[in-house]
Amino acid sequence: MKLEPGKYLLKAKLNGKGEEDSNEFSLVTYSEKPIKLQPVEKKETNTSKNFFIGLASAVKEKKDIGHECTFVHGWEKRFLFFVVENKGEKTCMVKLGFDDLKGMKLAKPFNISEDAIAIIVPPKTTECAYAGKVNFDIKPNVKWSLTNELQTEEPEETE
Amino acid sequence: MESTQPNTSAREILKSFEGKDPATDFYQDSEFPTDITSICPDTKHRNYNKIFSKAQWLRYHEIYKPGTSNELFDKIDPSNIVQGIAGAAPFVSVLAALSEFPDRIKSIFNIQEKNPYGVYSVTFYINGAPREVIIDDHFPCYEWGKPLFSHSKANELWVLLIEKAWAKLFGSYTATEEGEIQEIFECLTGTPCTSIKAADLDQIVKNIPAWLKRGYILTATTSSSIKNAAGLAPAHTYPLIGVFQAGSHRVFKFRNPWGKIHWKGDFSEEWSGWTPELEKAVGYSKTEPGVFFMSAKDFEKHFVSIDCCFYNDKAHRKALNLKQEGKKASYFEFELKEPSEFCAAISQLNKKLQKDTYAYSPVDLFLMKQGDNSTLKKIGKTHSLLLVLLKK
Repeated sequence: MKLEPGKYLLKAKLNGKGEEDSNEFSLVTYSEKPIKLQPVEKKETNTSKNFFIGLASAVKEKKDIGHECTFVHGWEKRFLFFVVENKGEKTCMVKLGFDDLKGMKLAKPFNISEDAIAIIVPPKTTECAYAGKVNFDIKPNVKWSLTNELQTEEPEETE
Repeated sequence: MESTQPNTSAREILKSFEGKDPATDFYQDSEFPTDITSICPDTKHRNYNKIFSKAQWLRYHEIYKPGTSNELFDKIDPSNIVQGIAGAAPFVSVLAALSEFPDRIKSIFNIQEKNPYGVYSVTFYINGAPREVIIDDHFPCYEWGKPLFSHSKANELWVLLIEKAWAKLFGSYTATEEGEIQEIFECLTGTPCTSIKAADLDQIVKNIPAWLKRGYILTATTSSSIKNAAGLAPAHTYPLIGVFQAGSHRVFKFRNPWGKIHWKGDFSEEWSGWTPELEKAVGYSKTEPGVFFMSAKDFEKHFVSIDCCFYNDKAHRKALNLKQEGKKASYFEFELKEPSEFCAAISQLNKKLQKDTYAYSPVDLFLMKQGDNSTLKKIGKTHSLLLVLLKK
């Protein structure tokens, strides 16, 4: 494929290896222009977050959820993602409470209970949360209710 | 003279023979001995008693006597490659496809001139990394002196050498009897490959002409259920060398490395529909040896897949050997200052050399472009394949 100038992230993984199988492999790149592959840790890449936010940025019709925030959700393969953009000056807390999560699991960093997540969105930022399919035999029918509240500022600690 | 010096290159071995009499001092590779174990270690093989046990090993100059044409390379013409008795058909197909580009064949050889001491080597890519395979010029032959395995009609040495190196890699000639086309391409060229189902004709029509124009190497494999009567060998691979639009006809052009069987359908030699205009449009010539033409409809009916090796003579190649911890993916960043063609592949351990329970794993190989505010945009799946780490 033809690539335009810019920065790229390449993810390589073997799936479904048995415990006794070798997990050695090699990654081969072949390019017209020389490249330098720089290994990075997953946490440095924020891959899922940046990827879902990238998907949401392409959505033209975003839902206004108040406090100068917009909301987008969508499916990407087995993931259901939720993205909130806060254009305001104050931090918002968006809570999603789920009625039915059969065959799905909420990603850990966001869940505040088994059936609810909270997305804290500082001013002028975009944040996301997501849930993943864990049972592929069940057709998901995910429904949720959403609230968006300005987060109360914590009083500064004084000695 | 025997030589088993570890980590010694073929050039160094050749240098060690300088000034010696080649009639008495010549190279014999003890890692791949001139006995039946290098031909076929399996005593139950269909040809073991009848043929292999009677084989004799001859040096190249003993097979092709002085005075006959005998060079390491001559024209490197794909129609000169003859498959031998072993069923190394996929390997021979890939050789035929690569031979459309003689310089690419030459680039596999580290010693590019014939020498009287019989020291040669090739570079194969094993699990992405280049590895020199050194061979001598002794080859297994029938009792009457003809090579048992693949060779060149024009007596060129390179076909014998490269197949011997391939056999050495796997332990014996008969161990090369099966193989995945992508594995062989990757091993011979170090280049990522992809596969397209023949039924996906839209994608084929969209991509193949441009790929051929860029010099990528293509092969197509027939269905295992077709009958020889159609003039195609079942489950065999043919180099795909052209795709043409001639009026309302979409026509594919193939190389036929399997000389005895000839395509008999539309656009074959026997076809009555050829017109001067059509011949001109697809470049058909009755005098061009070893090629045939076929309609897209027949292609879809008889073939199951196309493999493409993204060979680029000017490409920059990188290979990283990795070990996955549990289910943890590996991530890499890179930056491009200018537009560039790019492809990537994951190579896996060769299942031929692993336990019976070993299977190739599905792979995730995603390329994402970093946008504003670090957002990532998936820009399509890169070409991925399964491949080769030999563990002996």
